[in-house]
Amino acid sequence: MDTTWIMTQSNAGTAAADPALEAERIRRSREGDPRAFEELVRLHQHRVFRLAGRFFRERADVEDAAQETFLDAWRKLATYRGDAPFEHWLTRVCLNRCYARLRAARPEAPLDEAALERRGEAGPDPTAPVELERLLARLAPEDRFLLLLLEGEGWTTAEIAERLGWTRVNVKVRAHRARKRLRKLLETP
Amino acid sequence: MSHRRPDLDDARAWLRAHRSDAVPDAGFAARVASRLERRPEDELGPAALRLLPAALALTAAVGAVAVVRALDAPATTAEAATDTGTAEAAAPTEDLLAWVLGEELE
Repeated sequence: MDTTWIMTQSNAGTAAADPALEAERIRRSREGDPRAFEELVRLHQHRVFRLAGRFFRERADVEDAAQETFLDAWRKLATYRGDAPFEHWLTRVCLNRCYARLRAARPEAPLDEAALERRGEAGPDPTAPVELERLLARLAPEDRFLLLLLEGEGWTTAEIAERLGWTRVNVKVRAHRARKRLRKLLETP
Repeated sequence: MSHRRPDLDDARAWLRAHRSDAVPDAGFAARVASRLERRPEDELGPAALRLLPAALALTAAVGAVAVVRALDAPATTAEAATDTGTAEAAAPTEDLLAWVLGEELE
């Protein structure tokens, strides 16, 4: 009965998890029960996809990042102390995984020009988005990561610091540098 | 169409719009579950349980052989005592204690 409830809720992707059921899944997962962890994945997969989708455009990249997030969570589950909601802990795991993937991506990787053109054709002003994508692809992954959290998710530096486990000063300094580099990139002919 | 160089506002708008519309399909959770690594402590318990019957059978067999040999040992010693030649010939390969005892009895 409870499994049906969880699947219905997670498929809708909107309702919060029942805390008691979630705690039970976490406890069994920590004991090494893969079925319980699979149910936890179903509970949180939409949230993780949404967050990973902020950093990666291609579906395969989003899926890989999401899978790696849950595999990291499985390995590190013993470190979850339960003093904060599980989704907060999972958000941190997901952000760290996406950050690592962005940094690991080859900076010289060529942009998919055909995909860029297709996206450009879709908008009312086809030139600006394509040129922006080319420009922002030249940003360092660390800068793009922070700018997507600041501008894309609309998080404050304090929220980013809390969710990443970084200090506020660290986030502020990095955010300042990232914005400065973005401005410079846009001004450079 | 006019070509306008993107500015900071355009960049911000682009960053806000930058997202994939990918959603997990029905098999996503199962794919994750299939990649889960079994932890060593999870592997050792079931493996030990699987090996338990064989380990018990082996222990019982070794114990039975030991008992049979222990029961046979006095008879072998007595036989050896009656036949010095046999005892001497068997010395290198037979039980050392039986060989020594055989020598003493002689």
